[in-house]
Amino acid sequence: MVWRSVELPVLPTTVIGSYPRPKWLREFIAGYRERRYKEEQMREAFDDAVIAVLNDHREAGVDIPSDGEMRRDEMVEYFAERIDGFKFYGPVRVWGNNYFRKPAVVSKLRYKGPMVVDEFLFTRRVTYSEVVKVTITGPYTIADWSFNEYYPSKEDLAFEIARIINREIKALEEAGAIYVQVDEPALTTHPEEIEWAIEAVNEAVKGVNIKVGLHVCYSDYGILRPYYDRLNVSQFALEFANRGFRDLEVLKGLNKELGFGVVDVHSRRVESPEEVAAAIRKVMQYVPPECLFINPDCGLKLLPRRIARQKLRVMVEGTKIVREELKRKGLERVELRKELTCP
Amino acid sequence: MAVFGAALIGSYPRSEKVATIHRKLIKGVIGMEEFERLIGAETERLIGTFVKAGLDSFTDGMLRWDDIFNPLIRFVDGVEVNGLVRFYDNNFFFRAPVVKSDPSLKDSEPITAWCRKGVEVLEKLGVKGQVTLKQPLPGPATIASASIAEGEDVEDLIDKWWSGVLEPLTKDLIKGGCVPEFHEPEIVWDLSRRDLWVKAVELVASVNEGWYVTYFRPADPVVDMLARLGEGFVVAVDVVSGTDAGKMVSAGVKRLALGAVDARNTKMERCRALVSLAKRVAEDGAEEVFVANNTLLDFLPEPVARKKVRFLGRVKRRLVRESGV
Repeated sequence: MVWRSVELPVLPTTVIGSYPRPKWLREFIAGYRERRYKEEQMREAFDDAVIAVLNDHREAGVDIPSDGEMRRDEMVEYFAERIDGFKFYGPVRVWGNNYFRKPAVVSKLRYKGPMVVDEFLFTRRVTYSEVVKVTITGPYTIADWSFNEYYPSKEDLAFEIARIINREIKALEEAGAIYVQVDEPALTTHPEEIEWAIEAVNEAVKGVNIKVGLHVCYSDYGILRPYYDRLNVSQFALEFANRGFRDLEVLKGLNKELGFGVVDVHSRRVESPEEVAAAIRKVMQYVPPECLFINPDCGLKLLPRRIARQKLRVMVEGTKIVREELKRKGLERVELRKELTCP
Repeated sequence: MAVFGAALIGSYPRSEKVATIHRKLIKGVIGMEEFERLIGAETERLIGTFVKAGLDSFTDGMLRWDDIFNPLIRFVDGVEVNGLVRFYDNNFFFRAPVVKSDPSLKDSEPITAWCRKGVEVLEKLGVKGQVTLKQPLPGPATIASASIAEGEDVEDLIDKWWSGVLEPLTKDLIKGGCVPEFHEPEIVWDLSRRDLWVKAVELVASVNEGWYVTYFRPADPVVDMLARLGEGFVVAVDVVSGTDAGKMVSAGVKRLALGAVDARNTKMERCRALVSLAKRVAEDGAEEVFVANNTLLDFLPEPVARKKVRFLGRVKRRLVRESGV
């Protein structure tokens, strides 16, 4: 696939990935699990849900939407179910009474074939936008959130997963995707492993010739800072609203694009456009506007859909306020970039 | 000759049934009274499985608890409950205590009553006096470090949590027939505040009995502190993370729980390896040696935790058989 240049408004708005599943879809999934629906009907319901999500994104004015990860129950489970060598023993608790089906690696992992390419192809077919974002969970997070019964070390496991993710990203590239985001929420949780964790991410994106973003959230970004240069991605998508836009100092020296989190996905309070605009002006003291994307802190899936929709709207409205200011300075458009540095 | 035993440290994962009971409470489908009745029945069943597995020392599985701080901190005056915070390096989160004024245990705390109910179950099963029922509590260093408290330093918080909450609760638990099990991962996690932890260990030592549990990192760097706990304490260390158990014994820890069953991995351990380790520690001079899980079993899926509990019993039986003790 040949990279193609796409022009976007300055401060392109996008999402991190996940979006609340519509209530009817949750009910349909429950029915499918009770075998009341056929697989084909389930697939159709997922497709319809993606269309609904894209409609929400379009109405909000998001420049680069995603499919809301409608087909994914959980970000690690989804991939583990599609790679040979994983086994599920049952759910584990993450907090309170919330669980996820933490997979166990019980034999050599093998790539069975495309995992999210169909998702991408459908989204591209029905989207309103020129570019869509495809999210894929990163090798370190999958390794960290799995039990390792097979590989001699977590590092060995992470690199095996990285090679599999690399094949998947290349399959996406082959299918025509031009913007992939690798999600690595666990990346900084074991600082003693960060050296090889960074290289595992690089292994996952090796030889990829499209735009790759890296999403890391609820983390100590100070741990990431020494590795800005070493990470072979073109953008960091980071969460800042949840921390009240503190810690922006860590962006000093950033030589890549920043996907700037401007709305808090862990709070139901809907921010105002003015708050969003103020945050963007603040971050522009550290990152030039031509290197800035605007997004929520993280996936919106845990919010009620009504709130998620409102948050996207204010995100776009706040961005437009700053765009007007930039327009007066002659900056209106930017190009989608895949380069590893910015500016 | 050392005495061998098998022990469960901390929590046991919620089964699907227990998760459903919690869900019903959260959604308001059942009230607290019904919740307590249902959870009480599940706790009784669980204690029965621990006894059947051959464990000598265990908790009630903490089926009523979300994490080692909750619901304890909901029964403390001067403290509010905050948002989610990562529990060390795990993909597991707890609600942190926000200390607004000096923490003080409320009279309405239910933990002592839960302990008494557990003891009643032991009576019912006819094993009271033969096994030990423990009540896990956060240690003063761990809860002080987890606290969000503007303008308070950790040293003061250690004192305040101890005198206002942990000490009175510990005394009530002991009166109720439970043995306190202090969870202190913090003292091995953050060695830069070692001086503070010395004080925290001394406070715990003042109650003269209990279990003192560290995990997630080797306990070797704090062995001198652990040795100060005295003979009334069983010291549980995370062998999976690399603690040199022999070093504990050489330093004077005579009652040791070997956290050798990995509660953060589904892979099953080998019986022979654990038996050898326990025997070696006994030969080094330990007087009482327990084989145990290294940390909260809550990190595992319930079916795997069940297998690991049975495995602990099997290791102990083999130790007893081979050593004749």
